[in-house]
Amino acid sequence: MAKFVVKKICIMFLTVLLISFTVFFIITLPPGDFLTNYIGRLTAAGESVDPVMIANLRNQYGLDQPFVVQYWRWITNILFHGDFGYSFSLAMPVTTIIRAYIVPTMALSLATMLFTYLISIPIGIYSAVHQYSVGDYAFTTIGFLGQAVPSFLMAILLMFLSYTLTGDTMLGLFSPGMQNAPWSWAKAADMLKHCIIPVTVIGLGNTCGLMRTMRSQMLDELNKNYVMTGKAKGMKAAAIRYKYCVRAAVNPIVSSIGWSLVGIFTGSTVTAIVLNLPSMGKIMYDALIDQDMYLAGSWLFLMAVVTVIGTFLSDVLLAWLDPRARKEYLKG
Amino acid sequence: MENTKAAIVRTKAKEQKKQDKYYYASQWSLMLRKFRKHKLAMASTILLIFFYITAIFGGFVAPQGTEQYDGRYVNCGPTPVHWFHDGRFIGPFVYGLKTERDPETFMLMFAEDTEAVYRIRFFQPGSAYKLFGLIPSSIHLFQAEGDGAVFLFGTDGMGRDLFSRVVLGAQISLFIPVAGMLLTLVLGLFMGSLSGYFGGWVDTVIQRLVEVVRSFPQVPLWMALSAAIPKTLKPAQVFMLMTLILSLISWPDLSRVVRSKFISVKKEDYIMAARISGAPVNKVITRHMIPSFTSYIIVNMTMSIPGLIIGETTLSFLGLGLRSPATSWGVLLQETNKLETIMFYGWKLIPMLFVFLTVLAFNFMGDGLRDAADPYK
Amino acid sequence: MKKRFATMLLVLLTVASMLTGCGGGDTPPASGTPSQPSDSTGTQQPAGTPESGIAKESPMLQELVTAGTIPALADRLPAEEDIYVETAYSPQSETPVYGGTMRTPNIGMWYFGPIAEEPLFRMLDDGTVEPNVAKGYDLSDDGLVYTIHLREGMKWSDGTPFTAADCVYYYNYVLVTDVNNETGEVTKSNTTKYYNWYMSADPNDGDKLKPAQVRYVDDATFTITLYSPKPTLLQAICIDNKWMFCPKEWYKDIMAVNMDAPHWSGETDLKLIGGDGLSTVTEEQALANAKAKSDLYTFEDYTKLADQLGYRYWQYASRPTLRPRNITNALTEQTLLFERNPYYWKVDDQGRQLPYVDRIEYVTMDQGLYAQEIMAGNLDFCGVDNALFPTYKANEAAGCYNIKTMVSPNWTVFSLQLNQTYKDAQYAALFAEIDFRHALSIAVDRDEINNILFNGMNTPQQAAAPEGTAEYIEGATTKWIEFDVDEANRLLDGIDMISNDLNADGYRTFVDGNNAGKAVTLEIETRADSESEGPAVALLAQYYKEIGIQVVEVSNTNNDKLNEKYYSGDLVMAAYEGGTSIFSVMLRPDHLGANRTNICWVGKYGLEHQDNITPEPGTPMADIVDATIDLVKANTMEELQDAGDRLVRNHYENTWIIGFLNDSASRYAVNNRIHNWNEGFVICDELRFLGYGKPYTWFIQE
Repeated sequence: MAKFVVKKICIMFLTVLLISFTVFFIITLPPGDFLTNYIGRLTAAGESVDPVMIANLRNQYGLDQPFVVQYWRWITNILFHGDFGYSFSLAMPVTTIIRAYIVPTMALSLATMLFTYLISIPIGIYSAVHQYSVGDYAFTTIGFLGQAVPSFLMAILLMFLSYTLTGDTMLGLFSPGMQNAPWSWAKAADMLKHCIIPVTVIGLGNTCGLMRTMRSQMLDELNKNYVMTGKAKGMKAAAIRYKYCVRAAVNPIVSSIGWSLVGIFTGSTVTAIVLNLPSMGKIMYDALIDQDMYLAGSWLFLMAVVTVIGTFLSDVLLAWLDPRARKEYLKG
Repeated sequence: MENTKAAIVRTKAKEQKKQDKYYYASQWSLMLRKFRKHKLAMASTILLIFFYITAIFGGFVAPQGTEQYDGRYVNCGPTPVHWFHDGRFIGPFVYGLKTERDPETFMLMFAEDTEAVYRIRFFQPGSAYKLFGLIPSSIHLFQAEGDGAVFLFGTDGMGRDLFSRVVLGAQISLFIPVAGMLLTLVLGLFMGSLSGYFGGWVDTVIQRLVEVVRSFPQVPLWMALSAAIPKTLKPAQVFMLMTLILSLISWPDLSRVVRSKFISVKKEDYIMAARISGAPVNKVITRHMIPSFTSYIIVNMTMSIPGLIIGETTLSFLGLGLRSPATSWGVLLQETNKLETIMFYGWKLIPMLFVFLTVLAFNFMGDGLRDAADPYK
Repeated sequence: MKKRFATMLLVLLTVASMLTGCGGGDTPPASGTPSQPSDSTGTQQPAGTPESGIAKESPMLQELVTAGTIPALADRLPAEEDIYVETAYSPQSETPVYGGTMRTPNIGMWYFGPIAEEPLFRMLDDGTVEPNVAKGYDLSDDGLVYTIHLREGMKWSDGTPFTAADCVYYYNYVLVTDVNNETGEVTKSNTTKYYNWYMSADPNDGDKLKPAQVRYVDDATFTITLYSPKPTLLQAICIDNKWMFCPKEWYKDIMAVNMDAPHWSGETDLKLIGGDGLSTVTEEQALANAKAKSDLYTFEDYTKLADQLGYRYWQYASRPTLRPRNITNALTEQTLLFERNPYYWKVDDQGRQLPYVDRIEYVTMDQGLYAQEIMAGNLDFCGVDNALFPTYKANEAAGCYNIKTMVSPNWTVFSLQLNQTYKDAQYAALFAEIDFRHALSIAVDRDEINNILFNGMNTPQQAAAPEGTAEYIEGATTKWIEFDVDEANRLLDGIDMISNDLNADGYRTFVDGNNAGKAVTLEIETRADSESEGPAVALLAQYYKEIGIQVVEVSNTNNDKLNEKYYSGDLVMAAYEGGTSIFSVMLRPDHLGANRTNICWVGKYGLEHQDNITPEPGTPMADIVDATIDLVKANTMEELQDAGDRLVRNHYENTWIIGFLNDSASRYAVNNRIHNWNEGFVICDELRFLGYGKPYTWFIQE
């Protein structure tokens, strides 16, 4: 097990390094550099820019240096100083912005994750056990429909529904006046209320996918010989089902937690834009539009790193749950 | 008696023939046979074929071109097509539209003018377009005669016929995913087979690359790359770039599949035989290995199209893809990003129906294909 | 040269990025007549603790008083006779309720800033000024010395006294610190050309433009001394330098003042305002000191600190203010929360401390969401896009809000401006052809644009001052608005540098030069966040195809990018929504004169432009530049008026700005629970947009 984990960690570092390189490449993709934009902004506001200041800034960001040197500066600043660079459009360090948005982003993602698993696994089991029942068909249909609607549209439709039913669109995470109120039950309830739409929208696609995976995994298990053996030996059907089948069937689902995380981040980006959530998605979008590349790049980098860590965790989890996977991996 | 016997023999022979046909049938015709039994998949396939043909002949089917508009009919609801005028059947026609502004809200109100009858004419010349982007033509499937206006799906905020724009938008929204899929296929097959066939350091390098690309959250990366598309490009160029962006991110999944298939097939005896008898590498790969899991790839690719459709729609919706007056379903949906649009101009959601149907149809078709290709069932 | 505070701050012309205004400028601004100190303000009965049963302050503040956190109301307000008593918008029939939170979209610092502006003097819509933070002023007989009187006992929001020292400190150490040691002039290469309020010509030194001197007299008095009379000095302060003060005590350890350089305002001043003089702080110390004050003040370098805390201060929590409400959280938050200033110095006519509403939330959201959010009651007020007026109006009753109409001093609802200094000389020459602009103007079907984009609510008009304003010229609004494609084609046929026949794509081409054989193409810049610019250009493309001109829309999702193009001269032309707001050309010629950097049509002829170029003498453009300089140097009302008239007439003759429809209304949707919202005033930068409606008098009653 230790050998497995060590090997995985090494690979993880290599991946992160490659990712950082790719991200930096994307940062520098648009024509011009952000300093030109920055200078443009200042001068456009009627303020004149000191050439010495420009030279200093250029030097500071190493903009006159070759790509590799710039990259080195960027990555070492992140690694050794925790400095992700400066956001020119918001006029503050990227670290400050990330710190402000990471908590709601993570909270929303985790809530969605919880929602996804709590809904999809029981439904998957139900569908498999009651294969071809009305319920199974109903869930299968919902599963297909859920995957066919783009999340942005789902968000708008739910918003519309909410508006016609309650008279409120439930945008953002808080009602007016609640955002800066001290924490109380009322505030928590208000937030939960506002979480319903985002969590549903972000989680829907993923939930539908997981639901179907769980169903087929469970069906596979139910058809295996040990079930028959158990039955022959007089075990209760329910006991076999929940003691053995579910545990075996849930394995691949657990191992996909890392990928689920990607799906959730992905979904939350667009949803956050449509639903005006205080998560990084909106900030990322604005940063991209403004070509505020340090901000956009840092965020992309962080998301990718989180995903890598998520994958690592699920790999380890799977290896721990299923020795076969571990062995196979070490063999190559 | 003789007759009955002969009949029995004939029937038996027929059955025999049928059985022979089954046993001697190729893998493909077996798949087709099985696929045909999947009712939903068949229906989906027919629907998709219909969509694609309509899109290909878009210029002909759509009464208006992308740049046409009419300032008199801004945000006009769908115009009903009538058959009877004054109790007399006169074939499909529309009534003229009387427009009036609400004095208080300034909203444009439309009412049918039952005096003015405009027949719908088929195969008549109208606005010029190029069929397949090549053949200049001006014949349209249908349009109202004279000053009449037929808007099957209503109009948008610029007075453009939504039906035309849905049809013309399909040219982008249906073909970007296919083009993206093909590019993904080429990339995925190439990388996957390299990785699977050679193994060793080639495999390691490609696998790391796969892991890196797969680690990026898909939509944000799409957004980052799309944001770098210069805004001054022509729609065709944007189309190419978007295709490239979509496939650049989706190839790793396919390459993984191909790789694992390669690794398992590599050990098969017939491959060994081919290699021992001195077949060159590319021949072994293309002639012997890839065909063994073609069906699998087809299923995989079909299932990947919905994601690409939603990707294109989302990017255009966010304003990162194509831009008006060029049209795609995502561009059309930009107008629905407001609650009040849904409240007042519900017909603007119609393009959504097509996104929905297409994605669903591809999902069902993929399901049918998977069942058909599955040897265990 | 060191980067210094003043480098960023000198140019206070930059105050607002977009709108400038015109509408109410029909009366000439009051000039040099000294007003009596505090005519309508400060003479009423004092405010104080509750006497007749009506609470004189917000319950929120009463709690703080009870808790001993802040002193009693009487101790927080200025001296009795110096309290500002708001009578203009005080409600007559209802008794306003204290408390509550208003919510509005956050459109950025130039939205939540001006709405709460407390200037030294306040500009009125007739172009005159009235005392605000200042109690009044006297003007010396020679018109050179303004003596400004302040309110005694007035306090900053942290309870420290507000005195004349705060004004003198701001002017001398925050605003103008970068001076040339030898000449005493501000060392910005082209400052002398600026339209800056504190510059006046020195008759004893060859009419050189020099900055005014600001001197401390006592805690309630300071003087502004000019070199030659400037009849609109106070108006200019209103427009360009409203907040001519800052909390000195709070700033002194975060301001790096270079003590080695002899300061033009003299050593003595230092002692006067600081007692023992100012502590000298290095830039590094200043950064560290700022960081110690609050972790919101983590700036990358001193320049940013100076720019953000010195100039854009209202975005930062815990910086003491004179405004009715102050920001309480970090700019990064999606919802910015502004909470009432316990020391606010204005009361209503019943002696109740203003404002009534405790808090305002500014929520960052997409413009497309305003309508639904006001319908859902999640916003209390927001701007109404004219294109969306029908949907707002139709939901008025259901959404419990009202659409209030304000006057907008715009010359045109959106304009087409051709960059006269475009980098491609051939295009620049084409743009200089008056027939070309004429053709572009009449090739457009204005009625159709009105119907498609503006719900038929406007009327076709050229970019010109509307009737009833000081800048109105008979016939200017109807010039070149008749839709006539044939005439437009005939005009273009008469231009030699472009072909009369069309190429395969249906466009005219350049006859020779670097663009020979290429289609005449206009790249029109638009802003993606504008509802009408993109569609307008789509329509223009259709119209101009009929006259053989190709149009390419360049949509800018980033306004800064667009500004950058304005600046670099890469911009061919811009469709600019609401960009020609003229309050008074004499008071602020920005959109009609040649001073700013980001006006498309004037391009690099703009005097502030770093790559400023001088037009050929004798050309209409040279006249624009001359008139702009004359406006800056004017000593009398006559000279001012004359220069302003020249600018307006030049525009009438040359149509530098092609306009399409009139733009007389600016609308806001306001929730019915908000009371005291005043309708019908002029919305423009000079009057501080919504701030002119005195938002501190609004109150919430469900």
